[in-house]
Amino acid sequence: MNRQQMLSQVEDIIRHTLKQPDVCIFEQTTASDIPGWDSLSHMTVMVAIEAHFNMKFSFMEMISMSDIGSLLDTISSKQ
Amino acid sequence: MSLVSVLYLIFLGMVLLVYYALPQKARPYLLLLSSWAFYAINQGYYLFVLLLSISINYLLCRGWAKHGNRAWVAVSILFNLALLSFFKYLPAIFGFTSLPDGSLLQQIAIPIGLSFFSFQAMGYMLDLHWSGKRQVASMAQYSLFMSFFPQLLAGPIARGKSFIPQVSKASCFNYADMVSGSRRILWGLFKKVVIASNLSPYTDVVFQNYNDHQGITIALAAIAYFIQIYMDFSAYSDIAIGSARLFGYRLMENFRVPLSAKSVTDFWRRWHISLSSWVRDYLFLPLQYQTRAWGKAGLTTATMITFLVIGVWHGANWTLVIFGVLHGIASTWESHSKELRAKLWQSLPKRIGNVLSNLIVFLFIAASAILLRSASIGEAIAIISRIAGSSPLYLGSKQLLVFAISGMLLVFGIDTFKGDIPIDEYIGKQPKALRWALYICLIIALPLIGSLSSENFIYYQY
Repeated sequence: MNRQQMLSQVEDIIRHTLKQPDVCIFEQTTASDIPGWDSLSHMTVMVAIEAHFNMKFSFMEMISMSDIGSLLDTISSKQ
Repeated sequence: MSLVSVLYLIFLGMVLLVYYALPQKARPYLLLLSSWAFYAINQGYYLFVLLLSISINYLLCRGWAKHGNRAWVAVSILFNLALLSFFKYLPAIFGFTSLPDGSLLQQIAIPIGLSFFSFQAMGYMLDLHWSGKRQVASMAQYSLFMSFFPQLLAGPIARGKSFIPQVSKASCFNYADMVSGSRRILWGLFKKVVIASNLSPYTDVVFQNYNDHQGITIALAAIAYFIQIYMDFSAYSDIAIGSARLFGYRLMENFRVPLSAKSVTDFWRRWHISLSSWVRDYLFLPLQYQTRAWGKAGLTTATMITFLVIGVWHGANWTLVIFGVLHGIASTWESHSKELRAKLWQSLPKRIGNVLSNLIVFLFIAASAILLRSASIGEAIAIISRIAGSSPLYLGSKQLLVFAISGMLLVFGIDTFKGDIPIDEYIGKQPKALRWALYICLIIALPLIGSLSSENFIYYQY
């Protein structure tokens, strides 16, 4: 899977989990750019991504992700 | 030495003069010595507790950096919790506070600022551990991070990663910082002296004699007390942030127009931000991570424990536990009913929906503030139950009330226009004539309509 496909799949997960069908994400997008992505919904998004890509994030990985680009880096490193 | 005393302004002015007269390398050491002197003036021999906390926490950080073993982190957390328990919780649990006056155990008081600097120490250690970097600040930098006098007594709770780089960065005299800091201090003094202190006699009379009042008077006193706490604590934060700015340091914003919150969760993102973001990062997120497989039950567990800790952080009293639980329930309900609430608000015109949600949150917080004020659950229930009764409206000194309301009109009016921008920045963007008109109004108002019923701040007790 190339990075663009991964980005597209993460976008679908975020749209579905946060119920924001119109949201568009880019490598530089951060949680604060996306309506509804706050500390309460953060883990829901992460769990959905883990389930989709069949992997587990460590706590350190989860808190050190600063934007979608670093999220994609972490997913890539686990595949 | 309260932050609203003339003595503090003299102390601040003297430290500032010497600070900029010294070579840049010596400045952090002056700040450190001044901070310890400030704490000794305020707390006497409890300076020993601060120094003990700094020394042990620093040694534990060094130990972690050398060995990289989690045990150092665990010991650090346990040490800080033990220190907090010894001074804050054990005396209440074992009833030392109700012993006869003068007895040794009764004299164990809480060192002011203990909750704040202990949380800073735990946050610093956890940041070290989670970052994986084996680099610890120098002893002087770490000591100043733990002792910096503007924030030492009641926050904002600083983070090492934003504070310590400022210590090592050369602090040159900056005119803009001086203007901005002075504006912030003036604004804080106005909120404390004109609003909080003018409301204090009214809330004191009503809550101390709650058996004499019912209905609208109790409801009004609860609202007045909530506004008093807000003005009192945000005034302290303004003076702390402003004082730090004079030395070229930037502290975390502690309030972001909390009265504009449209949900309890939103309120906690705007109120005492340095504490709410601390518990979010170091407690809520790790708990949520551990319980993520439980779905909604995991979110509920993490939320409830987090708010329980926020409640208990305020002190060892069942009223504070109930305060935390109530806010936890409200926040949990909000996170589980997002869609339902969105539909409900969408069915109303937007402006009405906004005002209504704002009003509901305001009344909930004002009602729960009764718990912060009450000495026991029995007293809180007695006060709340009297809201249902009716008695003539008691307003106390109408003059003080008018002074407080005129202050509130100015502060809330400016809050409405400025939005989330810090007040000093907002004032700085206004035309020169308007800025100076505001300064003159504030300076005249302080002695004219201000009062100083208490130099202390409510949050000193926490």
